[in-house]
Amino acid sequence: MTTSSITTASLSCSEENSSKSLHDSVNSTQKKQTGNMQSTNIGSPSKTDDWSSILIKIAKDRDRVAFGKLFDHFAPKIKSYGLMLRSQHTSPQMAEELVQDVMLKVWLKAHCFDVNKASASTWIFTIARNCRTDFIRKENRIDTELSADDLWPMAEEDGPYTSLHQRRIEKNIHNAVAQLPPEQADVLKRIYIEGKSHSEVSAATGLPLGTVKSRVRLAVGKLRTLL
Amino acid sequence: MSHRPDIHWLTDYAAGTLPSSQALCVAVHLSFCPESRKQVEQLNSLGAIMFTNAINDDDNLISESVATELPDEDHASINQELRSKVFDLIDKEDIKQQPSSVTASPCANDASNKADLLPHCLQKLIPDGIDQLDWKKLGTALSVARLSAGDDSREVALHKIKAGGRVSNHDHRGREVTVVLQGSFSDQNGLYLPGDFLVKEAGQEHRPIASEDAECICLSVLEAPVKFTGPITSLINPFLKIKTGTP
Repeated sequence: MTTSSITTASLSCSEENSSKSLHDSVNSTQKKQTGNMQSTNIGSPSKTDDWSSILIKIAKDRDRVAFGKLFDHFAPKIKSYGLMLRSQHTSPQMAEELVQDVMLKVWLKAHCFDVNKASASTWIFTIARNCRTDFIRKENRIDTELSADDLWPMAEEDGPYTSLHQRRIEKNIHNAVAQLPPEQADVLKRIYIEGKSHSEVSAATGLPLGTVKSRVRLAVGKLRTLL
Repeated sequence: MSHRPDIHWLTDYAAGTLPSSQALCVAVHLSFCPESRKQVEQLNSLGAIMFTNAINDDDNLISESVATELPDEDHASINQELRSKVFDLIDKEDIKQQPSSVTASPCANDASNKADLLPHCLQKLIPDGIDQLDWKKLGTALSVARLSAGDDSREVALHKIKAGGRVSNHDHRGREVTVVLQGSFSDQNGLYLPGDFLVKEAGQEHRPIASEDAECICLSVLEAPVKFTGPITSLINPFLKIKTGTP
């Protein structure tokens, strides 16, 4: 963790640089300036600051204000990730439990976050995915020693990635996703967000399995050429 | 590494939709294969973007003008109660834990702490090492040790072929996923080394032969019983016994 220039200004910035999300994030920040807000100066967001700095701040300083900001940004996404799971166990209660599980884990594991391996949103997505998987396994009373964290380990010692490189990759993926044909984006959404396997997507949409596969191949292939 | 899971396996893995037993095979493969690990990292990033976009898609259903009129709680769909609950939880955790132990709790999986050198994800299932498993002989060349991986509809097991041993010709009534852990074997399609990942679909026959120099140990996950096609081995077909109610 080499990022040392954590400024208070970084707290108000989101990873996506689109004006909409910045607007949202500033908006919600202003609305949530309740009891636990201290004299933090909310400066204008700058491009180099992101949720990663906030996570590092949470890890280093156990900063509850920073955690509150992270919560306000990610909790709705986690809840909707829970709600959109196509499963007999999906319910608003389950989605809220998921928010609790994930955010608690973020708090407890913040020191494990390494900005050189993944962005904050990727790190939080993998936590949400693992918690959601564990939740289903618990609901289905699956009896095993293995937890989702064993099967989907967090990023290990790998690349000589720099955070800049990592950020560039994610930005490229982000742009590429925005340009995907709707039918390819739809298949990816069903797989990642609704939690369907390729064959379940085929069953749900009536598309032949081969078509589902070729859409995934095309979409992911397109992303890979940009990396 | 020449035998890797294809993009569909890796996407289902990154999205978390693979059954746990098959995810286990991919995880074992990943512990050997930096190339696949890199691909999974990219697929995780893709997942994160789908994840952060998902809620925006929902927002788009509400027109901009309506959205701004909604109370904040409705719009964000997170109520203050849940927020307080989470803050209570972290307070409790912080009281429970000594400040020093917060930073001391483990992060990455440390695979190098076992003499066995098993991939981390297998260590929990095989805590005492491969030799201590309950191995059952299935003929002269092949032994099997079942693992409990929490998947009732699939057979999860280690298979051991002795050095130079030949496994009877068999086909599959269901898909079989195999990852090589130690040693190597070959079949009509090629040579498989540690970390190699192969999928045999139902109906595909093959006849694995372990390399002469060492025994070969593989993790395999089978969707339905294997059917041995050789003349004698039908007597010792292992998986027919395991699946109760299957003829």
